[in-house]
This record gives sequence, structure tokens and C-alpha cells, in this order.
Amino acid sequence: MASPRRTSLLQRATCSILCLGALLPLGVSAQPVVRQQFRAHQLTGESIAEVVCSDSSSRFATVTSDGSAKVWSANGTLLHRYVPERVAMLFNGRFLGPDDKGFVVAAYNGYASLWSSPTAAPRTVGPSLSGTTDVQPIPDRQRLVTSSDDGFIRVWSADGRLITRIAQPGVTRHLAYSPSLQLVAATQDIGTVTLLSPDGVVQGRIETGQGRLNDVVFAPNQPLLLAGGFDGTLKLWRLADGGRTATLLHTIPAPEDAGWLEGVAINVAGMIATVYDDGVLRLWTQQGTAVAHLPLANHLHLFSVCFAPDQRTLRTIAQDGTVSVVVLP
Amino acid sequence: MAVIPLQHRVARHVAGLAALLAACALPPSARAALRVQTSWQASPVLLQYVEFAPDGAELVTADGGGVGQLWRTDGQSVAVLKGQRAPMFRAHFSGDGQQLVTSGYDGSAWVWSRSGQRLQRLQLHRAATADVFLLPATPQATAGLVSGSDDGTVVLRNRQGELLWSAQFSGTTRQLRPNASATLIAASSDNGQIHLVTPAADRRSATVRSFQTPHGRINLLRFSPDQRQVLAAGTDGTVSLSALNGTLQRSLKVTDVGWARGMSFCGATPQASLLTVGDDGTLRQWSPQGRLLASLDLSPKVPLTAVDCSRNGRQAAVVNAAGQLWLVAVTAP
Repeated sequence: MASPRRTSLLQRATCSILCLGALLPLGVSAQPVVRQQFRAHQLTGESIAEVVCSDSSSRFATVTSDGSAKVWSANGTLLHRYVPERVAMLFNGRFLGPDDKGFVVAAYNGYASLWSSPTAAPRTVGPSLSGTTDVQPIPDRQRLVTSSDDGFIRVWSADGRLITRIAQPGVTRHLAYSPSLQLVAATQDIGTVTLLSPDGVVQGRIETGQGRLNDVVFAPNQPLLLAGGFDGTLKLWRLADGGRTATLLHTIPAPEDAGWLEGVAINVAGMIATVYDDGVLRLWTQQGTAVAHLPLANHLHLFSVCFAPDQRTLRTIAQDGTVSVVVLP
Repeated sequence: MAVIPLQHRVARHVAGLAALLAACALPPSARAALRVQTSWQASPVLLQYVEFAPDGAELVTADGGGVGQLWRTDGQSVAVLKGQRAPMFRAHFSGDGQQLVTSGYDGSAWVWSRSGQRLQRLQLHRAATADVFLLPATPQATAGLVSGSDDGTVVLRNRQGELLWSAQFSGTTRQLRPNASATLIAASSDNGQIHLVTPAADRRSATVRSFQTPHGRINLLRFSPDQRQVLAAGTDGTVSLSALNGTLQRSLKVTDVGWARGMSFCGATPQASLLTVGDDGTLRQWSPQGRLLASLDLSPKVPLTAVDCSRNGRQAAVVNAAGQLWLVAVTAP
């Protein structure tokens, strides 16, 4: 069902894009359009929400603190709803494998729950000693990596056996995986990114100096890592030598009064999308030039953003569970 | 409706009267009890914590919406403490009861007067502040703070915010608790470890002794009345009592389901009873020997999240995940 705020938000976003158009650098012709907004989850007050794009299809998923994960078709039709047997707030989730048939979620109660198909019974992995903050499948290695409030990065076999765990300072909060680099990135709230092999061997560590990191992603076709969070900045790192060397390429400054950077995504063209506490989706070139500025969430926090495989469709999710679909030209 | 014969009704009354007389005849030491005195909706969202002022006249709550609130014990609001990023995990009175400190998810701590006026804003961490206490001045140290954070650190500062000492641990440093003299600080990590921090006189250095509890994440820490034990409420549903050398001395299963959330001794004597709360919504009273004395089903469908006894041990404040607060009269054996 469409959000009651749909019209005003669409109008506001369009206005913002047009107003910004005069400020865009020559040669940059991004004119993103807000295509759809709908309330995927009825969230109130303090909440947690992530939107997850499939790597291989137009499906996407929403995972929230209401304890459910939902898989949606490209046009916003609900396809599946996943609720773990042990009910708990969910922190994040991922599609399992390239066919999108399975899904896995990370939960506040310390478990990851994994469905091999929408009709299969869930299998639990864990528990951690505290909340499981993220879960990252390694499909080509039949592994699963989890992170936790207890500070551990854990590597699990496909059948749920713990292979190894690596203690880290503070909370380990977010995970990302690059199949091409064969690297897992794990953020710590102390402001570090730990780079590991899929077997859990630490390859390198980046001291970002950004404080708590709310998101980390690899570029799909370049050896680039992007991370941001507490201080609102976004840093782009070039990785080399199997993750043992990281060179800072750019720092995109914190937009004024935007609050925390909550989510980041990058497509194959190097277009970067960021979302913040102020409810604004911002687009940047890889060199850090601002391209677009779209208020989407009426000053509610935007928590997460992802690119669909077409590299043009962006999806965001707000604090109240509203999904926005934004299309680049 | 079934009609109960007169003789049966008389017999029931007689039996009830006999039980009442028997109860009255019991020695006072055997009559532990919990009784709800009053209750009010203290927040529209999850209440994270409640604490009595040292004088017992007021209490403070901290909620998931980032709001702290000072209350009189009749339920009248005294002041609202807000402005920090939600959630607010903890709000604590200073030892003399004249000030309060609240934790912010933005890594801050705000210090407030007893009347609710904001006195100071301190940026302590670059991740969530999980817990923070005000520390009193000593002959060799000015007044200060100790804080724990999602960044895994325990940090000692003076009231100007200058960092005096810090230690880094794995996982969230979620819970803190200074002992009565603030010469020993217990801190917990979400991997189930407790770290006993002994600051030097000037608080610019400290020694740390860590031990593993049977828990994973710990939801509350307290010291026993004699200061010789540290208590931890865990996600395994138990409250553990450990000696300061880390030896586990007792473990109480305090909830039928889910997590143990909190505990509080009612009184400062070795005979003080212990109150516990957890996800099953039941307030339980335990003897110092670990015997269940009384229980009260306050919130059968919603977890109880915190409990605190007044300093005289006669009243307890209990809060739940739906924002309800109860004041409970505590009769100690």
C-alpha cells in the first residue's frame, strides 16, 4: 500500500533534484527519479531496518527490528516473509546464493537463522555470546560469517559448525564480502575494518579514524572499500596485496547537519549512494563530487541503501519501514 | 453458576481465617512479601533502567526513546532529561544524590542537576555510551566519570572530560558498577567477562583483573552489600554471585524464559534479601542463601527490564519493556 506521504515526498525529492541541478558540475547529468515509496514494515520509534538487493535478480529484501525479513519483487509485491523460530529483533540479512531461493538473518538473540528455500524450515547457526549483528554468506566457499556484540567474527561451515572465531576490540557490527578479492570486511565500533580471508585468517586492518562504522561495502568491479558511520564521513580505500595494503583515496566530508552516515552503496560505474540520519539520499562521484540530494524520509533516519543488479535502481529504507525506489537515468 | 452449600462456604471461611491466623502467628523473620503499592505508565516505549535517589524520595528512569525522567514516588514527574541520541541505556544518581548522569547512543554523557537542569555535555566515545557513572572527588582526584561503550573501552575521566585512563576489551563494554567507595569498578564485556578495575588514587592509572562468568552478555552488575561479591544478570536466565577473585559462589535461575535482566539487594546488611527480574515478567525475592522467598507476577506478557531497591530496603521500583513502572513494598525476612 502506498504511503500517505508519497505525494509530498515525491514532490519534495523532485524539487530538490531540480534545485540542485544548477549546482552540478558540467558533464554530470544525473537526474534520479523517485519511482515508488511504500511501507514495507510498520516500524515506530527507535528501530533497525536494512534493505538488501539481490546480486542476480530484481528482488530485494527488507530486514527489521520487528523480527521479520520480507522478500519483495521489483514492483514491491511481497513474495516471502521470514520469521525465525526464536523471535527477536533482526539486525541484517542476506540472500543465499545466486538463485535467491534462500535467505539468512542475524538476530539480537545471538542466532543467525537460515532458510534454504522459502518453504524450508529454518536452521539456526550460533549462538553468539551476545547479539549477532550481521551475517554474510560466502556462497563459493559454502561458508557463513557472523559478527557480534561480543566482539567475535565467526566463520561457520554450511552445516552450522563453527570453524574459527577471531576476537576483535569492541563490537563487530557490519560485514561485506568480495568474491573477486576473496575478502571479508568486518567493521568494529572502535573505527577499524578488519579484512579476512573466507577461512577467517586476518589479512589486514584499516584504522579509519571515523568512530563507529555503520556500513561497509566493496565496489563490485574495483578493489575499493567504502566505509562510514559516526562522524558522517565516507572514506574510499584502494586495496592491494590481498587486503594487506589499504590506501586512502578520498574522504567525502560529512554533509552539514546530516548526522550519522547510515548506509552506502556503489555501482559498477562508480556512482556512490549514501543515506544519513537526516533522511536524505545523496549521490556522489567516486572523486567525491556531489551529484544529487534527495530528501526521502521526511527527516526520519534513512538506514540503508543498495543498488539493484541493473546498476540504476536504488532502494532505501527509512526508520519507519518505508522503502523508496529511486531510478538513475 | 454452581451453588456452594452453606456449610462448605462456612468451612472455606474458617479455613481461610485459620490460615490468616497461622500466618500472623509466624515469626516476623518468616514473612517475606512483595506487594504492589502503585504503578504508572512512565514511558511510551521500552524502559531500560530505573534507580532510586539515595534519599529514596525520587527515582529516575531511562528509556529506549532516549528520554530520562525524574519521578516522585507518587508518580508525579519532576523533570524530563532528553536531547541525547536514543536509546538511553542508563541514568544514575551521583553518590550524594545531587546530580545525575545519562548515557547517550551518540557516545555522550550529560550531567544534570537534581532538578533536571542540564549542567554539562561530555563527548566520551565515538560509539554508543553503554553505561556511565559519576565518581566522587577523593583527596588525590577531582570528581570524575567512568564510562563503557560499544567501542569496547572502559574510560576514566575527570569532570572536565580529560581522559585519565582507559582499557580496551573485546565486545561491548555494556555494564559498569562502582563499589560503595568507588575504589573498585566492575565492568562487563558481552563475551561474559567481568573486569575488576582498581583505579590508582589519582585515577590516572588502574589495575585490571578479569574473569569469565557463566554468562554471555551481562545485563546488569552489582556488588553485594558487604562489597565482597559481584553479581551479574545474564542472557542465560541466571544471576551469578562471584567472589572478587572470580570464584563462582552461587547461581540463581531467576526467570522461566529468556534473559535475566536485573537484581537489587534490599538493604545494606548481610541479611538483605535479593530481588531479581527477567523476561518472564516475575519479580522474585531471594534469601541471602539463595532460597526463593516470594514472587510477584507483575508483567506476564512483557519482560521486566530493571529493578532497584530503595536504600532502606522497604520499597522496590520495577520497570518493563512496555514502559510500565511499579513501586513494590518489600517485606524482608
